[in-house]
Amino acid sequence: MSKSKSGSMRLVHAASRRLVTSVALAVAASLTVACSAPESGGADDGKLTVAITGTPPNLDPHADSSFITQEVAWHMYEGLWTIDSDYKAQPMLAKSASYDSKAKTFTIELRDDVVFHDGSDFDSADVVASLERWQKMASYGAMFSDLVRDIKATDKHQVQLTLTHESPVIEQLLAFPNQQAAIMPSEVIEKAGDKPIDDPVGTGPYELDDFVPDQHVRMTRFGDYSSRSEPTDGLAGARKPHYKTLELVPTPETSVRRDEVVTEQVDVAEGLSPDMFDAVEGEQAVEPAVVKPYWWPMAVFDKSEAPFDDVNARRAFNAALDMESIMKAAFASERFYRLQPGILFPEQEGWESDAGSEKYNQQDVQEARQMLKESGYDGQPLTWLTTREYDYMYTIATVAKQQLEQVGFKVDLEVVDYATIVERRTQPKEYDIFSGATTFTADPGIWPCWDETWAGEWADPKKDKLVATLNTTMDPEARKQVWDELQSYFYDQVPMVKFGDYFQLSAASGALDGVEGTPFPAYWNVAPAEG
Amino acid sequence: MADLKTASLDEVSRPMDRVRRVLPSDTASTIGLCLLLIIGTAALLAPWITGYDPNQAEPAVRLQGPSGQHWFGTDNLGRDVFARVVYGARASLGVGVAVVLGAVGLGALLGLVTGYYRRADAVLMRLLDGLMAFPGLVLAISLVGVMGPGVWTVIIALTIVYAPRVARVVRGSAIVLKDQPMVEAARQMGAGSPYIVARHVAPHCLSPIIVQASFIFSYAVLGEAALSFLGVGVPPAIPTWGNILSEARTYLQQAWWMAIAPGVFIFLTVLALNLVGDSLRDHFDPKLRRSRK
Repeated sequence: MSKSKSGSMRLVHAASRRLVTSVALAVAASLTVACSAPESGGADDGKLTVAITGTPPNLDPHADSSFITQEVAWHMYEGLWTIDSDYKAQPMLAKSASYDSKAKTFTIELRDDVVFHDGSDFDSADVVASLERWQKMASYGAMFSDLVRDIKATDKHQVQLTLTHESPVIEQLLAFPNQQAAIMPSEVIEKAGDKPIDDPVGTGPYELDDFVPDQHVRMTRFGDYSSRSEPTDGLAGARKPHYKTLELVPTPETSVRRDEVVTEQVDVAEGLSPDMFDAVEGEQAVEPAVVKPYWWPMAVFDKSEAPFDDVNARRAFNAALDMESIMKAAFASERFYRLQPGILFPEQEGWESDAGSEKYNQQDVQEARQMLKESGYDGQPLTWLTTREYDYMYTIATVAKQQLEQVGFKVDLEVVDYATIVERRTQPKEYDIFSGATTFTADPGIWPCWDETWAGEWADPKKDKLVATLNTTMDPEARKQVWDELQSYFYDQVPMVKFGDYFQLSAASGALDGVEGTPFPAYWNVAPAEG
Repeated sequence: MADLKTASLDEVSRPMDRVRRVLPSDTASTIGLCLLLIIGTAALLAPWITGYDPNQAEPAVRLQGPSGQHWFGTDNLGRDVFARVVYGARASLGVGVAVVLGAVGLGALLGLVTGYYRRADAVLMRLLDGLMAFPGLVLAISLVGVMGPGVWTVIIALTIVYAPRVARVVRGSAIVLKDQPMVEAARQMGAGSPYIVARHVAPHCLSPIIVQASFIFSYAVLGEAALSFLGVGVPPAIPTWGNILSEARTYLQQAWWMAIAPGVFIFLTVLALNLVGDSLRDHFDPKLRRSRK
């Protein structure tokens, strides 16, 4: 009896323990659900994972011009202006601006509701320090220097630029996401000087949590972020970071990026191979996105040394190439490429130009051989730095090498990672040609490749003069004429070779809203799809 | 015991004769040798048996499946995969042969020195043990990382990785041989150590060296393929099986033939080398030979 009672008691105790455990688990589960449920305003404590194409060499947008650095950086840093979906400049940290044509001053009123990730207030001293550093370190900054004589803080939240010339591109220069005129605290700049800043402190919607090269760049939502109130439009307007954590994962292998998004290991995969379009489109859980227009790939010469210090060698290179076969090999289908000579895209109203088009896609072997002979090229092997991180760059270099060797060039492809190209392209002794691609450029006057300090060493007074004219002419029609002349000169001097326009394939989980097919992918407004 | 030793020394006195005798009579080694002969001949005669330049891109026919025109299909640049695989055999087997020569030459020398000279043994073998402690591929990647990618870099890296294995085996044989009566007799007659090593010790180490060479050949083929696949081996402009596989990985779903062809060639080559190596090892092993008798 006692045994039986004792047994019953144990059962009761066991049942009680199970009940308590069940209740505890239920409460815990409820709390978990409550914690992970979107906060008011649609916020979410989850993580958005994006497979990107490589590791950024560093996270300093002033110090490094590679796209991968810029993409990471524009989630953490903001500029005075940014661009909308039509690639027009819209204020971000600036409140307003006015131009005094008599005094040639451009006065910028700054927002007073912004703080940096380190808690310090954003003010005019930060703007002056940041713009001065940007001028010294970035190609866009160097262009800005040509137009701006002086930058001074005239109030805690007011900055005045004294211009050398009236210019239509000041706001565009301060808005463009690549080589962004990122605003950093003056104290951070003072401490870092011209060295890359390893610990980013910006005003953006995300702040750095952890950066492990080749593994991840992990960012967390900035709790004190002060968003603009205007509706979101491209990179402009309201930024509402829905995900608490944004993790960008360097994944150099294209097929791995594809597999990761298809198997839902990541939410977004950038830079997929065009050959993957059909496979991605066939996946129910994934949406393909074609970004058109996107970039154009190019081969950039070291113009400071033989043989490409001679324009005839560069012209021979350009004349030898059959762009159709090169672009077909790299991008598979006309869905992802087109042949057109313009430095800007035809979609950019007012800037479409076919100036110099007779020198694009010549496929003239005889002419190429003749010009190569005139250049005095001695048959020395040429080092072409290329990468398989961007498959198209390697493919283009491989096919182009074959065509170039038919006219007498001897080309050695050196396949390295992209960070190595970025590092070595600033050292002329390290290469003769490097593979690159130029991003979308909103205004021809601010194309970074015009600048002599950009890789490739293009020192050319006539080019500089044309760019200066373009950037100081206010009349749109007159600017278009200058632009045609500049593009024509580009094809005459061939500082680099344009192969064609290409369009980007990305893929994102169908369970997401806000992933836009844009040349400047940003993820602060991405959220779980409703319903 | 004396008889055994005499027999043992007699067994290893003319190893090449036994290599000649064993191979035709052994089915496995015959298959292996035939496969090697076919692949090696194809590599040597590549320009005559393929109608395409392995590097000639034809974007208009990219990613075409196997057909009468392109036996193994075409790759993402429209290059003929059969031509690339056959030409790739040249580089892959060439690297293998070079690594065998390097690793066997260096390893045998180190093995003889450390086996015969106790002082050298104390220092050199610790260094070689240190090298062997690293996983082979990781060590090779590190060496290529330091020296930069290239055919010679791969050969040097793989030689450094595999030479200690040969050294260890040769050292073992040399330690046994240096106490043999013939060595003692030579020493008593006034022969110097270098002469004894060259005349009496080295020739009798040939059997294990030959066996090791066959295995190192297969390791080297695999090692080159692995390094090239990882993008740290032979530059992509030179077709090797590893490079072809590396380029195929993006297209596994659309163009399986890009990966199958080099994969099969690597498999067959390594299989053939292992069959030959196993036969040689079994033949030179006195215990196995006695059990067969």
